[in-house]
Amino acid sequence: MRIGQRNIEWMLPLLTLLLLAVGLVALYSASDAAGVDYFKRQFIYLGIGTFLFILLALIPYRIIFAFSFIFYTIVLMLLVLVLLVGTGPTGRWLGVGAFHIQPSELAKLAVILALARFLSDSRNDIQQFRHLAAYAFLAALPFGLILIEPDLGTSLVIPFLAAAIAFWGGIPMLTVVLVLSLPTVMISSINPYALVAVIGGIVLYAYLAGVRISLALVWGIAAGFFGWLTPVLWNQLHDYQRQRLLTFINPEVDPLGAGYQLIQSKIAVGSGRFWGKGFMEGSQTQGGFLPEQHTDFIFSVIGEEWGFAGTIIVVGLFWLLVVRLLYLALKVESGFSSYVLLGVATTLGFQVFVNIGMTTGIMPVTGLPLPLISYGGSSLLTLMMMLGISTGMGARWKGRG
Amino acid sequence: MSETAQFSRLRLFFLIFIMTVFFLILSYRLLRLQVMQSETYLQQSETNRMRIVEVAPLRGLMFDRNQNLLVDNYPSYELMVVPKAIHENPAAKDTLLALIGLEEEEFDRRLGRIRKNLYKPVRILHDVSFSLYAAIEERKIYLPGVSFEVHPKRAYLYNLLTHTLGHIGELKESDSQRRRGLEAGDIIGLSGIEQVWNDSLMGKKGYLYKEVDVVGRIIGDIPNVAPIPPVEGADIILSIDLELQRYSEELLGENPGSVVAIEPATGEVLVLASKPDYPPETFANVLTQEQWKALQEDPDTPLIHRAVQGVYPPGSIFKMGVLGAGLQTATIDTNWSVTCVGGYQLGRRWFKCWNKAGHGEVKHRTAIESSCDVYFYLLGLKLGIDKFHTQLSQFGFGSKTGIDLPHESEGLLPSGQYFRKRYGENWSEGHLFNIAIGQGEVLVSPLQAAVYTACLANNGWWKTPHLVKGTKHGETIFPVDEVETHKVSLDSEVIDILRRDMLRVTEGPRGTAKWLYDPRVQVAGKTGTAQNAGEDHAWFVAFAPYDDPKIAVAVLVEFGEHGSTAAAPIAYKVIRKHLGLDEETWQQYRWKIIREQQAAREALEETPQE
Repeated sequence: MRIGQRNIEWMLPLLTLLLLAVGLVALYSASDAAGVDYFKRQFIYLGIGTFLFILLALIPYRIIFAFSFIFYTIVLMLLVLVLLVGTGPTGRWLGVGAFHIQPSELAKLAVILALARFLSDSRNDIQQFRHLAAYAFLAALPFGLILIEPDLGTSLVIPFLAAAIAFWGGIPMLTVVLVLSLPTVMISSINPYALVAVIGGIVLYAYLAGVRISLALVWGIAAGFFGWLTPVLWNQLHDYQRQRLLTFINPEVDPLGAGYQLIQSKIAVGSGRFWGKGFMEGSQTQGGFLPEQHTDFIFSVIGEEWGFAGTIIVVGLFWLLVVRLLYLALKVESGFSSYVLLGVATTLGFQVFVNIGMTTGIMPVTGLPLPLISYGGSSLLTLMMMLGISTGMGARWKGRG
Repeated sequence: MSETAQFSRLRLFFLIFIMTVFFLILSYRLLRLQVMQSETYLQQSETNRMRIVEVAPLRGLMFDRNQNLLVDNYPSYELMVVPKAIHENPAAKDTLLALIGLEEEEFDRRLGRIRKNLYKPVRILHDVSFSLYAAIEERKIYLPGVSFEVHPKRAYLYNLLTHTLGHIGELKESDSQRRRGLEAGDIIGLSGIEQVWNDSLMGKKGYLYKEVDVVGRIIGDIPNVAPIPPVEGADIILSIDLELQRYSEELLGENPGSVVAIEPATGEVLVLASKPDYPPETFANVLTQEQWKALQEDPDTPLIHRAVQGVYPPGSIFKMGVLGAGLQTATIDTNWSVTCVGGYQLGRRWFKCWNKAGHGEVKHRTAIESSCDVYFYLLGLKLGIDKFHTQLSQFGFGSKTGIDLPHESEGLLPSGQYFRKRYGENWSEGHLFNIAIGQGEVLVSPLQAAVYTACLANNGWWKTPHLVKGTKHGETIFPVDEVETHKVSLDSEVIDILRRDMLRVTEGPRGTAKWLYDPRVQVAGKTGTAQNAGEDHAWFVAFAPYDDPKIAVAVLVEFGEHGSTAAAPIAYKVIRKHLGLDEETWQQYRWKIIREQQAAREALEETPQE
């Protein structure tokens, strides 16, 4: 490994290939049960995806840097367009005839590139409020457009990855605490003692971090106000609205509506036990008990047919992929590359956690696909593009010297 | 990173730590589900299975304007078999095969249609008889994995209105992506009223929550869970008059042709007949390739709804519109006259009048009454294409009427632009001659002809024709929204002239339909002949009673040659039937009455008129 020479980044492509293979096996099973050939169609997407992966891995990252805002603008326009003329079962598709794309998937990559480019520009200093505001605006625009589609699951990825990139980009610790204090206060408002303790902690932290005591107290009062407001707002909601929120957080209170998928999915995963029921042998999968088993709930197919042995390997592969991306983010010398790698890592990690959490009943049912494994062209192509770019960037860090 | 500070590196390690915690949470969760609690879930997967069974809603019924039921539903029992259950139980298979009388080979072929998914029930028989249903239900305990699904089916009670009512079918996978809120396999209207009014008729699916055993056999309901009942579709009340429709279709017989009748004051369609047709249940069942091919390639084109999709040159029924255009634009006045010598020489071409002997000096009255072509050749020439097009298009020629049926034809009303495009700048006056008598390029559907006649009957008020009077939810009837209506820009004097001239067609001494004269009702009409490569098509349009029109009719008989002989008698019979005038009495005393009337009329003709 010599300084300045290109390394071959083989880990990312290898992990990608392994996960894709797992996905195809699971999809074959699910596809057969549904009587529709999702399997063959996925192969076509895979062909295009591989081409994009290789292409983007070979392109110098400066070209990607140069195109990032253009790409961002195009995706924004597509997001507006999908609101106006969206088709498909949920109105999230855009396209003509048999070919359609889901712009909300592309938006993830667009936001990562735009934010990375913004932060890597030395004129922008995220420690300054107006630059932070501009940064937040870049993320909020596509977030809002996806949220009103409505596609809650996909939209939530964006604030998460934006926060992670900003955190890596050196946002002041105080701002981090300020942002985090709001949800913390809202959650802790269930218990008055907890609320007091949390607010006390926030004020103390602010004071220790060098904020003037008066300002820290104002902050504490504001947080207290939010804490007081939360139950008031909650009581203002109609019964059915509260019911909906509760069902969202814990679907099992509605076993035949929102909870149906979840219960069936848990039965599928749990009944797989340690070694699984075997390929094409899952009675939940093959019996058609699992809704959406080729897309959002494909992990339950793996769980049922391959058991804990299979699921732990899949989780392990994803963990390796995420950690490898984060490791590369630390190693690369270009700021832009580092932010992109970190954005891709957090996007992947978030989606894997939310999706597997959903199929195993610890996260709400939001409709996020499992990266590289769920059926779906737009999701797969976007991920292949992300990982292709990451591979290219990962190959260009200088050795320790 | 160049600006990487120790502080910053810590942040990245922190992120790696967070991510790792996330993945540890997942791993622990999987460990709990798949190892620690797996026995519970295994048990649940083997015994306690829940299946959501969709319940198709009852599709709305259709009634005619007098509340006669036209379209009904009936349950069809579909025999379903779970492949895994029947494979594991050869005795049950033998019992079943003996009951349904199917060869084992054929049975296996049907079972195997869906690939290896052994748990999903497969349809073996469609619409089974009640006796077979009862026989299988009796032996149910010996037949694991055998069940029935009830699908509502459509019954079209009369062999009438085939094209208009349309048909239903399953939404195709490829189309489902374009329809929000619908899934592939949902039953939707695919043509006719069933298609256009699908949203009202369809209703909403319901759901049952059933417990099923390992082979997918339903054990029972899930306790303490209320099923979601389906919402029935709304019934639809058509403006069609069943008796009049039946009569019209009988009158057309197997002649290709069409009858359209409209209530002028409302635009409600009373009759919409098109022949030849096909049995209404044709598309309810699976068509074989040969059956479909035969229907498509039939030279009589039974699949075409001639009333709204068939277009023909209007011939002389167009002449009221052309005369109206002449008078309204003051191109001519009522005294304008031409001399008809049986035709007109234009350049090198002789344009003949249908009457070779000629009509002599012709004013507007005779021009309509005896349908003189020369009068209209010259009127067309004087009008010019632009005025011609503007004036005639207000009757709706050349555009869709907006009736609540799919795939309506626009017909064709040529404009100057059309001719320039088609024939270049020097298109000839001959084209104008032709369209002035409703021949050549002009094309009109029977529905457009009826709407035009209804508009004249209704003193120039044009109403969008429509087939649905209202929707019925339970016992409450909701009338449909007001239809689009406008007044054509013809002065009432002009319309009065047109109406009076139409009356002369059936009452005047030279009227082309005077032989049909019925003293019990004043009919304003017009005959027409659409020139055709083969035998000509016959047209007749009419409204009656003259003073207070209750019905406007357009009749087209393909290859009928003469409007007065082939089409007009049908129109008269439809009018008489609608107005409650007995047909038999008329046929019996017809000649006696006509002779008396003729004498009286001759006496009248001798006294000078204004």
